[in-house]
Amino acid sequence: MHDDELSTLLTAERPRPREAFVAELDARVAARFPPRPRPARAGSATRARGWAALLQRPFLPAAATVLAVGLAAIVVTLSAGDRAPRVGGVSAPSAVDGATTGGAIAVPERRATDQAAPDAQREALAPGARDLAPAPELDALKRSAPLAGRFDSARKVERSASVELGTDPERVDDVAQDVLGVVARFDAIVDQSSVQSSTDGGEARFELRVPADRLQPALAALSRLPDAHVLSRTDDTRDVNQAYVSIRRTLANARAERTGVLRALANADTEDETLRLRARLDEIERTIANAERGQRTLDRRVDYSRVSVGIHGGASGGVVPAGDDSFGIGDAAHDALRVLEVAAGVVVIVAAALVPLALLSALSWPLVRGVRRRRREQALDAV
Amino acid sequence: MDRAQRRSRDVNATMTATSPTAIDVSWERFEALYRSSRDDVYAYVATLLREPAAAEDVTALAFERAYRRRRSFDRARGNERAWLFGIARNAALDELRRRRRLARLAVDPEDLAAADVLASTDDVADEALRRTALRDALDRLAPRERELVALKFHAGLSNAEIARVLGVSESNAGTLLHRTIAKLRKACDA
Repeated sequence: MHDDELSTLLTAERPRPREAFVAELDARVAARFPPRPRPARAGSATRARGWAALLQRPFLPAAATVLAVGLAAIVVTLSAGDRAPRVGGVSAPSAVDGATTGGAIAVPERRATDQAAPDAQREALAPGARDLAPAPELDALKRSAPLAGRFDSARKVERSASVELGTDPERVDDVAQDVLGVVARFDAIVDQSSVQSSTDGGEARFELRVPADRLQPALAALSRLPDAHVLSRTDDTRDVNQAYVSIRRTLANARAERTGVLRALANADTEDETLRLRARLDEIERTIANAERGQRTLDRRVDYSRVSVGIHGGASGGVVPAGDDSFGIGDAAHDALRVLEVAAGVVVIVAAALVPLALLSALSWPLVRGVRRRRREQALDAV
Repeated sequence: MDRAQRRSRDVNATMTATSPTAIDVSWERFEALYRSSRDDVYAYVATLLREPAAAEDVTALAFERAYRRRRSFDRARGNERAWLFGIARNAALDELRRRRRLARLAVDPEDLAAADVLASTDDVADEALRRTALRDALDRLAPRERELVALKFHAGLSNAEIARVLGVSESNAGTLLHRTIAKLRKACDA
């Protein structure tokens, strides 16, 4: 058989479409492939077309899943990362059970927190915690059951604070008077005070005792004195619950022993025994007196917080610029810059998560295409 | 061969006649491609699938996919016919993959009727015998060889277009085609 003859025969064997199919396809093309209900006969190729689009690109749903999981993990991680230092700073054992909490706080942040209206729940918290965290976050912490115990108001906590104020040299006396006004307003006690004023500067210092439940309003008032500005402010918190419990236990034991000794004394038969019991009773009485004194001291330290107020006039105190408390262009620019910084940080974090995924997708895409192509070729071989 | 070349010339003429300022150039190109390739795509797919109903579905699907992707066609990567047949081939292989079975080549009732009429004379009887032998030989070909025959003689593609569709070099496509034709001729003469 010659090539031409074979070619003619092969061409003659060419399958030809049905006219009905051609007409239908022409109509669909003319209508630019409108959506159509899938006929039952067309199941082989069109029935699973929607799923086929996904199945032929298994990488897309897989990548979407990986992306979603990755983003969720990042969000969870960031949330945990944000919470960890806040919880530690407020209620970690080292902060509450240890020596101190707090430290010098930037003035603008301090001003913002001071101006926030206190509520009942916040009053129950440690002063340092109230000042270091915004109110909503503290509210969230209060709602947290494991943390709530740490803020139990029944615990004995000794609080102290230090406020350093700056003012003009000639206004040291005025500011000192204002401090005394605050003392009177909040039923505080002046333990010690000293005021030195001169033309080129001056200084005053007050050692106050402020009722613990009014400490924060008092500190806020001190921070908002009209002729002064806050140079620094420090809040300290010390958990003295352990010492309190120890004293109570010593007191209870001593009183119980005193009852026993009194009973033994009543039944004493000999003079020696009576003398010995009386000596023991005196010793117990001294122990009880010491314990009660210790408890009263502790109660005073808990009920009244020590506040040290320093007023610095002149160069050391600086001059309060007019309208410092108002929200100006500078503050707005600062806040805007901060917002941009946070936004940029978020972008960097998202990019850090997406770039590896994108690289992974780009690297694996040829592999996916190769696998798909091989499967198709295998389908042809299997015919 | 002539048929394929004639079709290719027609396609180019249609393409160059399309105004670049038309509202939807890509649609006009697609429509021209459809007019020139509809029967060829069907013939190729039908040979590959060996089931007319499935071939119709896959042909329609291939053109619909080509329509959806018409704007993504990159002329630098080959001509439009090769691109279209690549889409049709993928759709047909997906269909084969899904079915995993071979449908027997459906015999066109019109052909049978024509054969009965033509068998009344000796010349036509010889022709019918040769066609039967050719069909048997085609059946004995490997699927890839049968695909080559379909692309060349049923779809009318050039060797370059076949190479593009199959993802091989043009010389390799020519070699494969030559071997397949030789094998087919030997089977027919046997």
